[in-house]
Amino acid sequence: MPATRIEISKRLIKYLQLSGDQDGQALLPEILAEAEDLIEPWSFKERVSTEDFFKLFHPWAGQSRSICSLLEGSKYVWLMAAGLGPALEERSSEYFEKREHFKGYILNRLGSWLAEESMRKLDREVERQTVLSGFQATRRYSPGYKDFALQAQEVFYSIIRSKRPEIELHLSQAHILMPEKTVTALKGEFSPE
Amino acid sequence: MVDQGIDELVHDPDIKTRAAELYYGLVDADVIFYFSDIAIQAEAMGAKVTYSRTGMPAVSSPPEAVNVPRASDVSRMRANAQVVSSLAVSFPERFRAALIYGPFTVAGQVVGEETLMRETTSRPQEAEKILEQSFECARSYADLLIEAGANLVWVSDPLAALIAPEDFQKFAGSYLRRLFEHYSGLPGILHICGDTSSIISHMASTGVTGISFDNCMNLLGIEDYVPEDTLIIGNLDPVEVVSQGDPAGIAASTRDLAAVMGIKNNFALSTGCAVPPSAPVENVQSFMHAGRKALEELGPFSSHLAKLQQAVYQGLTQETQQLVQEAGNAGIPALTTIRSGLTRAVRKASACYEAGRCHLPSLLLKVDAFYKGFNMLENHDQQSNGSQPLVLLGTVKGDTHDIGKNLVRIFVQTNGYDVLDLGVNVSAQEFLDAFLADGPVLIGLSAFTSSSKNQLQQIIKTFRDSGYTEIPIIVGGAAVNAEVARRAGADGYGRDAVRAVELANRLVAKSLAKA
Repeated sequence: MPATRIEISKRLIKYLQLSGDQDGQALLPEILAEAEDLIEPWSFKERVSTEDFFKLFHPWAGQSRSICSLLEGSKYVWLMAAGLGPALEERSSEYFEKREHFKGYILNRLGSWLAEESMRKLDREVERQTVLSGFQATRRYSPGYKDFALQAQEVFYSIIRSKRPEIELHLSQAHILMPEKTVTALKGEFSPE
Repeated sequence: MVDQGIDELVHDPDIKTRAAELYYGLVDADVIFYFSDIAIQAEAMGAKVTYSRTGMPAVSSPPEAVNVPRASDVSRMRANAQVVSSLAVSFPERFRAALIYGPFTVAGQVVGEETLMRETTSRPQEAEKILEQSFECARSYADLLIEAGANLVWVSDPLAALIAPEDFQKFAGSYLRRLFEHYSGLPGILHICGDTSSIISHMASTGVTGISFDNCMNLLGIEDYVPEDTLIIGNLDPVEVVSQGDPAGIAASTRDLAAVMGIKNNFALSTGCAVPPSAPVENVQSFMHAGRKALEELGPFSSHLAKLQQAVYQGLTQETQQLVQEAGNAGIPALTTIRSGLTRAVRKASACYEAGRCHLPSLLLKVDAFYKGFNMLENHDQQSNGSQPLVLLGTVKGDTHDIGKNLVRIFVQTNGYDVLDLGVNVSAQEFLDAFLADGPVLIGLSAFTSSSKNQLQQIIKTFRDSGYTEIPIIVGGAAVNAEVARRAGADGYGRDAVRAVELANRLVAKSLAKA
């Protein structure tokens, strides 16, 4: 498992809604240490041609105006995913069961933060790689945003399962990737001309 | 109490005395009033007033010329002084209030509320002139009442709630302070209608003995802003509860208020504003009886429960456990420990959260302390043996998110309900089966994803189509807003867990009242 050092930044404290809460902040290092032990961060990225993307994500991508508009002029599409593994969420639920709600809630919220941070990091990597190749990248977009149906998670799920079978991932009937702290997104790559 | 109408009663001191004596013979209030009306000072200053048999006197038109008479020259004021004088003989042991209306309210009646409000910004000297005249009238009237035997000054200044907090001192507070200073030998009480949370410190700095709060205020949310040596007076709803309720319901609401606020040394139980003349006297008696009994029972334990409440409120788990243990050793009933110690702290924290003074994690630290104590009592109290109303909760089919629903469960439970949590991915049929089997008083549906929000309508429709139209169903979750809730046919939308509980309390009270 890669070592993760979580920085207690002002931004994190604000995200965890602990600004001005000295008692809550005092408990944070212990919870962060616990989170570090529990998470197994992974990330996934793959570039496909825009044509293949629309085939893969048929009919969800074609039906989405926002996706069509976002990818207009894009030659390639990056598929990205990041997650933390199931242990952190399980521990959060255990805390709720034990009626230690503060820890359960902070762990849960921390999971959201870490998953989003992983995605942000991945996003930056893709952005860099795109620029180095002489292209530009669109902003990232995820299933469930506006008219891009959540069913598109099925495609992400299939791709990740086939390329990275070691990753523990499930898809619920409601098209939600489990563990919940799993983030997926796509990004168009287009020529500056 | 008497056959005559209000229009006769307000002019005849003998009828009024008879009515007051009969009333307070039945209602053993610590503070008694002489049945006044809000128009009397404005009328004395020249305003025209209309009278009717069943309604209270009301200002109908402003004076042609404002004058400040001596109260002893005003017949209705003299009549009221005569009533106070009689009450002093009949009820020598009780506080007899010299009820007067605040200068700002009276000035508003005299020149018109809008005119006065405008003048506070555009022509402040004019506003101050009429305020000074209103002050003189109020003081003269209070002097007369005190001379007649009143031994407490009670100032109601309902219109003052309209002043911007930064202008309160100048246009209301300074005059009120002068009044209370003038009668510094007597207890002084100030009542301002409506939400006064932004002016509490100004109200307290007028030198009052106590502040009477409107029933719209959550006393738990403001108690820390009232100085320890100032009474917090309030605040049962005088209309919906006392006047329109039944004696059993009034007793239950009164006990709840007493259980929550009775551990404060500076609390005095009262209604949140004047009780309407039409309120049945047996309702007022029910309030008095239930309140006295509840406060008497709580009295010996109040100091310990206050410490316990504070420990939970500060999120101190070990201290909470120790104090719960000591409460048991001291013979405090488990239910009292839960209601007036543990639950009170979470309700207070929830009030602070609602007012935007703390975030959810801070609230959860207090909830954790609550549970440390609650776990020790859970098997001993009546909350866990099915005597508390049951709430059914679940995340709708197709959705597996549970954190929002879990938070609602926690706050519903800490507010004295039993909870049946059906978990996540719950179908309409499963909700219906649980409803039929367990008979909850309310159902809460959670939906996190936009695709699952369509389930809300389907579940609610299932209940309504099956003929269960009365059971309140509330909805919440990331995918839901007030509009989604309305479209789904829900009885309400809980924006977050704390507000969901407030909503549940309101709907359950309403539905129990109907039943």
